[in-house]
Amino acid sequence: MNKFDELPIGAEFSLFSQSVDTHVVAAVADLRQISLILDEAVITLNNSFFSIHDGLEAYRDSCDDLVVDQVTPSMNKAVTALQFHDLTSQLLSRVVNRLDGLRDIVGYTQHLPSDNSENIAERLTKLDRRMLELSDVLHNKFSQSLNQQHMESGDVELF
Amino acid sequence: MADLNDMKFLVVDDFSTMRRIIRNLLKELGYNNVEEAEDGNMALAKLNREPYDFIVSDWNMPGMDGLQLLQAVRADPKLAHLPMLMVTAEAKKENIIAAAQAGASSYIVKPFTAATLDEKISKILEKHNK
Repeated sequence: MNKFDELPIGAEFSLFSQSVDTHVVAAVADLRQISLILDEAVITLNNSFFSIHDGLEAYRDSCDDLVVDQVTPSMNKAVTALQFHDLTSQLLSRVVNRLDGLRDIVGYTQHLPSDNSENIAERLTKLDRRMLELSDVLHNKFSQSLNQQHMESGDVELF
Repeated sequence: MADLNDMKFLVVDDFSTMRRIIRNLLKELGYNNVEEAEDGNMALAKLNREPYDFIVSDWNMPGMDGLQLLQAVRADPKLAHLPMLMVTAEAKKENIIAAAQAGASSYIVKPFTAATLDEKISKILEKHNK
């Protein structure tokens, strides 16, 4: 018999939820770090592109117009593509919020009574029901619509 | 409405990168008179202080979001006439319908090109000027 066989069922769930919580907290921290790195990189790119663009326009008279006219559209496309920064930031935020919600669901098991006074099957049924309710709430919080994959996603012709 | 090149745009988005991108796209299309606001509350304050000809607004913003801004604009007799283009990352059907019912002039999903923005603005202005 191992140590878990000796524990009341509530205590077993508590150990389980603490273990999950540790990993989820670490995952959320990593995602927040990704978001910070992405923000900094895109802001730098954005500033740089606009500086190049402004520089080209300022020296239009002394540069060959053909060169400026060839470079400017590519520059504009690059800047426009940075819209994905907004989308990725929103997606990262959704993942973080979903993981936080998952912590709440799993954390619920920490509040189970730590003795074996209730019938185990009945307790597991109640637990299952409550976790499903929390899961539905979490699921409904997030829209499923952020799945754009290319620059021509913009056109919506409903009106 | 002002001559196209003098048209005054208000770009509303909590993301500074996005505001700058839309400003750049509008400039590409010849619209150089562009102001910015970070959220619906700031936008409404600007709209009440000075005249604008066109609003381009994000949906998800802290404080007053895009839909609330749209409803406030349409409820104000001084602002209700303004064309308002909703720009958003979400393509949820419910949102699009809500925008239409609240009186949005059109709806565009990020990411979008200058050509798509041009087409949307042109269609809105065509309807507006009829």
